[in-house]
Amino acid sequence: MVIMEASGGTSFIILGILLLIGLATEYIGKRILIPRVTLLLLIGISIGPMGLAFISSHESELFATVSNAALMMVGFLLGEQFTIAEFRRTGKIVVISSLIEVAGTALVVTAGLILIGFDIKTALLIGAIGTATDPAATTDVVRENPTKGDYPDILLGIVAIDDAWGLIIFSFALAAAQTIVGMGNVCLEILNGLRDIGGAITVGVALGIPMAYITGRIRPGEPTLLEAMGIVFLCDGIALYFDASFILASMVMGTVVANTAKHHKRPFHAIEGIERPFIVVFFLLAGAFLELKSLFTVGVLGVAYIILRVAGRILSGFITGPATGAGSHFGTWIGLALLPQAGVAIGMTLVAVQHFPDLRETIMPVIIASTVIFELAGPIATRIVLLKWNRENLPD
Amino acid sequence: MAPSAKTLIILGILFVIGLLTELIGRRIRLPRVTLLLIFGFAVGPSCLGIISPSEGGWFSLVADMALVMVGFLLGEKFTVSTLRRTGKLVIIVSITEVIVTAIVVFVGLVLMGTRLEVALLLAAIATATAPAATTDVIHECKTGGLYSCVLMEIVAVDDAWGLIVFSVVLAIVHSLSGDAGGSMIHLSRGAWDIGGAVLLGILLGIPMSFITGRIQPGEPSLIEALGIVFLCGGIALWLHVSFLLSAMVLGTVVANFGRHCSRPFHAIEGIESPFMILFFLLAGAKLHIDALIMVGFLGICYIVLRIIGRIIGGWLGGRLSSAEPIFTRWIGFALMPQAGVALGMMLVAVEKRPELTDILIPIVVASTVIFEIIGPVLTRQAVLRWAKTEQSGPF
Repeated sequence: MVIMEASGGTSFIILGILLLIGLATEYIGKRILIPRVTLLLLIGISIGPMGLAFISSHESELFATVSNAALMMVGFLLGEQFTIAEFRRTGKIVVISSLIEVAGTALVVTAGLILIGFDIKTALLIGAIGTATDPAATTDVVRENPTKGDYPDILLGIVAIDDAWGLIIFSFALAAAQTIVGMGNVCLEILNGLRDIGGAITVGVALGIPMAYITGRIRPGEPTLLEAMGIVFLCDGIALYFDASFILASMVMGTVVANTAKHHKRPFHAIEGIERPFIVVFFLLAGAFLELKSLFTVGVLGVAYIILRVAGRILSGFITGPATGAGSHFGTWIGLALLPQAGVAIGMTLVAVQHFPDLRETIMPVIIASTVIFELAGPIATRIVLLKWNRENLPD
Repeated sequence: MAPSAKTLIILGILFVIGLLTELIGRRIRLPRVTLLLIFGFAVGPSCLGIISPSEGGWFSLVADMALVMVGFLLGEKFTVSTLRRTGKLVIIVSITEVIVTAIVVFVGLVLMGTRLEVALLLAAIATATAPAATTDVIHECKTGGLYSCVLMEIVAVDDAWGLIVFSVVLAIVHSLSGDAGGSMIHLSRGAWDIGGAVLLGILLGIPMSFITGRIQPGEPSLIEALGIVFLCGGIALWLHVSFLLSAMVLGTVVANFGRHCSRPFHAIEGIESPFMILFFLLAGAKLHIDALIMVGFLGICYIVLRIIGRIIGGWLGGRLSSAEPIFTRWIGFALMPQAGVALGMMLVAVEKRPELTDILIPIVVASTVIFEIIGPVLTRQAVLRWAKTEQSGPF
């Protein structure tokens, strides 16, 4: 009989219902083509302020916390992809594919936009933003359907790395845009980008090494979860404090731990065990706060961007096949698998708008609208690709 | 610093502290609960100030989550097979404990010249135990064994008895001040508190058992378990029934009727630990050590009387149910921890009789500090001794 405020009850009821909705999507997602990510987003939209208003903007603080926690865990788990053994198997393909995809998409989008008649500044920035992918959605689709063969792992590796490449390209694009306009400090921009990445790597390594050490010395059982959560949270808090990319930081940390810790599987298992509820609530709330209204203002720029990004991904894919020697099975489809886009893109947009306030009205609605589309439809494409790869029974 | 960065860093630090206490607790003889409370106090606003009062605001949410999970897991103990073995012992000891403690405290305080109302209320509050702290000590000792199991069941059940006693006392206090209608209201509210909780637990437990049986192993178990447990807790709070009890009943229903019934419990056990750590650390941060100064003579009497009441009650209960001497001797000590439930009762009492605020609050707050820190140490002693006997002797 502990006395608590009445509002405490409501939060619990909402959490409970969200989780149970998530449970339902587990089942539905297995039976139909739509992956659970998209289902969660759609349901989220319907219960959010735009729909039934079951979730109000009061919950946006909850969303911030949950999304931080969820993305951290996603990042950390992705880091496990980069063990030395894994690298030997797939490293070359991952690096080359990711570079081609990123460069290719940026080129296609930028060139296309310039050809259509938009100014270079806008084209450069949007081109760079187009390179971002959403690790959370992509990983979730991959995990939902365990697929045979190397390709899913390669996909995860690409998704992990291309956030880093994307940041670099974005810094260059920012610098270039500023030079063209004749303002700002080229070096400063590039340094900022490098600081973002370098800082993330430093934090990740700085925390990863003690974590690896501790992991090796803990007996199995509860402490592992505590240790994993504690250090992952610290890592991301510190990364945020230094304004570095916290997804990258947790990825690096995950990689360090995966490569140097004894019993290194344990923290990953511990976090995998707990990740699911966070991801479910994350995507539901993300759906609730999706700005659907922006779809109306998308305009020519938006439509052009969406088409060009898809084209860019596919075309890059065609080059990737031969370039990596992975064959056309891989190349043809990898582009389509990389369509989901969300938070990273919006983050980049916010930075861009900070430097070029005059572009606010043009770029923001476009990116917001396109992320709605890519985040909803992208996972479906990813799933189709995974099914295709599975069906073709890769010789691996 | 962005608010979320600060939140994350603090959470991270708290978890790492929790990890440290795990490691320390293994080497010294203090239970983890006590260490966490002390650490929590150390980083709290009263001391180092790493945690500010705003983080203390998380406490409600974290406490609710932790307690609802504790309740659910406690419910698992009440399967038909377990009850067959331990049921009689549990019921007799728990009822005896509650009655004896209440009587000892009441009589003792009255003999010291305390007002009747104060004595009655304190007697009822004295019956409360701390399910979270007790279960944590038992888990930490990892000894299993019959008597630890019995202890957990007693702790679970005596919250129900405590609620009943408290409602009756409130009713008496009301009629003492000439408000007979009020006393009826209290009795019925107490009945709603308990009965509603039981009803809620059953209503949610039945669908949950059904769903649990139909889920494949793996992730969905955690989502399902958390979803329904939170829902249960939330509705209980909303309806103002005892949410600890409803979570317990939920757990009992699922434990008895669900196929694959162990899965939701395993899922929640896996995740319970970080919440418990946060719970005790934040509780420690909120501890009003300064209240200890104001405890006064009455408070000391209360503390001493409660200890005596527990020991006698345990002994009597053990004798009545013909338990082994080792159990009888130690069960009273094992039931010493007291925390949130007592504070909750106190808040209700103070709400009804605001004039008693200055007397009740310092005593109860100070005594819970003592019982919450020292109680677990005693519980651990009891559990360890039982384990030693159970290892050597046959069952």
